Amino acid sequence: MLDMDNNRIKNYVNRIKKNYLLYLFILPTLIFLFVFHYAPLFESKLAFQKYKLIGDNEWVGLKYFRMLFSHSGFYQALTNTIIISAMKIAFTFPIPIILALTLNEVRKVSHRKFFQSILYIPHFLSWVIIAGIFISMLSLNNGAVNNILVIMNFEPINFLTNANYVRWILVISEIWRSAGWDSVLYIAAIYSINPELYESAEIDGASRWQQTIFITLPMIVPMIITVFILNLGFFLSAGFDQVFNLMNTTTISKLDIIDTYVYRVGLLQGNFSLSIAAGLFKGLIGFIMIMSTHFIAKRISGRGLW
Amino acid sequence: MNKSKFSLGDIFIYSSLILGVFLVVWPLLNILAWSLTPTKNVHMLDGLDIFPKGLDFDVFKLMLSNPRVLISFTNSILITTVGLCLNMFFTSIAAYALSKDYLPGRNLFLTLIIFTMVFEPSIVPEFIVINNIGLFDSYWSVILYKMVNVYYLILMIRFYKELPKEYFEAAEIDGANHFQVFIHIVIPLSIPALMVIGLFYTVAHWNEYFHAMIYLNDTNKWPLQVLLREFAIVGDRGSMVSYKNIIEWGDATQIDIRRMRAAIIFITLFPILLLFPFILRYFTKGINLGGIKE
Repeated sequence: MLDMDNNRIKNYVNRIKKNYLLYLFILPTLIFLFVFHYAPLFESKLAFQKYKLIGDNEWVGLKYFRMLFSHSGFYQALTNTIIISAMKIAFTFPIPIILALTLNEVRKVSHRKFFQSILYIPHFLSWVIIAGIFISMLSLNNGAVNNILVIMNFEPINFLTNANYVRWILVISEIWRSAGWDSVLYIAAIYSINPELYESAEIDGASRWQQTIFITLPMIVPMIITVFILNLGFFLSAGFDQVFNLMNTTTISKLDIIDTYVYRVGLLQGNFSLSIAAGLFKGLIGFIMIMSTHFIAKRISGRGLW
Repeated sequence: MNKSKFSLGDIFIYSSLILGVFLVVWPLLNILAWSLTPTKNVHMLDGLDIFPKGLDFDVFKLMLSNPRVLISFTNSILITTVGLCLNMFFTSIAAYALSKDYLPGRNLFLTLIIFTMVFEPSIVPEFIVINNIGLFDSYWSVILYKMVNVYYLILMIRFYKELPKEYFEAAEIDGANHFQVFIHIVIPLSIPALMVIGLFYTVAHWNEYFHAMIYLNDTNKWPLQVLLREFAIVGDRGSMVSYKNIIEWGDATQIDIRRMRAAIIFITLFPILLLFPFILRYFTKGINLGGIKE
């Protein structure tokens, strides 16, 4: 018995020795993770401390969390995050699905490839560029959208400073950027549908429309559910880069999300502890949501985040 | 059934897709039209125009001879190139090692890696660490913080796991060590997959602005995206002025500001357009690698 255990340990040590090069391969990545992920996590202890320029920081327990939960700016950011995420899920989530189904109906491969290629482009542009483009298109003076409004006899609107519209600008620019690219996963799912299903449907006299509704759509439902659940996991990240570049001082009350709040309070106002407390709050809730959505997705479709 | 006929359904499908293509291309062409229209004709230009009224490259000449733009362009190229080399090397070797089921401790490493996907530290603690290790105001801050993308790492691990084992076993019996196997056998087999993640890394570096904005204090180290943001979004015209061009830039104020913004937007997105055919080509090959989220 003891001999076998000994053998196993020997075997194990041998395998480690034999594969020492593989550990060397992983080492840089591990160092990277420790420096840029785990060390910041450790530094997050500052949320429980009062920052002092000279001498050691003072432990203050949950003081900054209490401060956070009594800060109206934080509630505003939390509410905005929830509203913006919900709007995005409601209005941008279905578009790539519809797009994939539409693209699938283009019989000529070269035409389909052309449409896909063009629609993928915006995904690769940074939000700085996209914000620049949207600011130009929405500008009060000679912007495309306002020109159309004037042609149709409406009053021009300053979309980027108008509290009623700014959140819709987020939804629309999100669609512009990612509808094409996000359809990739659904298109892949459609490709893997067994063609015999369509053949037998055709024999039964099903029209193209009926085939789409009764074969293609149901067959990609697992993919739709997976993507939906995984998106839910990132509910509290309502799109920092987008909001950051499209927000201005007049729209802060409608657009400020947790991530922009964390940035402003921490790096602009220099209140490190409060900012980290907000970041930890988001990280913790996000952790629970991502983990649970991952396991739900894995359970339903066998496919999670990793 | 006659499939070759263009039915009502086809018309609907084609017109909606053409509309979609139009909505993507139109703003880009409008930006280009603004930058190319001579300043004297700008009053004729409409927000809806996609063709320039006349042709004048003055604003591109001005931008591309502006020291600030040139420095930023060089910085972007530098950050992207160095960053990409590190990304490719470290991601692929780590993924190869982690694809070996028999490696003792593999599960612990994977857990450490996956945890970073589900719990991200916020920006302030990251800032403190960058400061503590002396990377503040150094190019390395922007390059190193994304040395390995965990999603691409996992993608590569999956890819290597699916490679037929016979390839390695033969070489290992011949006495090749892991490094030799990796260089001579694994790399040639994984070119398409490496191209896919390489292109994504390249785009990520080129589009970097936020960390550069926070960590690079010296404006001479800014990449193009930060300059674009200062000039076109924050609206700071001074961001284009350096001690070398104060006088010419004074003259440049006669040029319509919107044309200048359009030009700098176009200069920043142009390299992505150059890259795009490669993305399409390798992505169609790499699509069966599994879902790519980012």
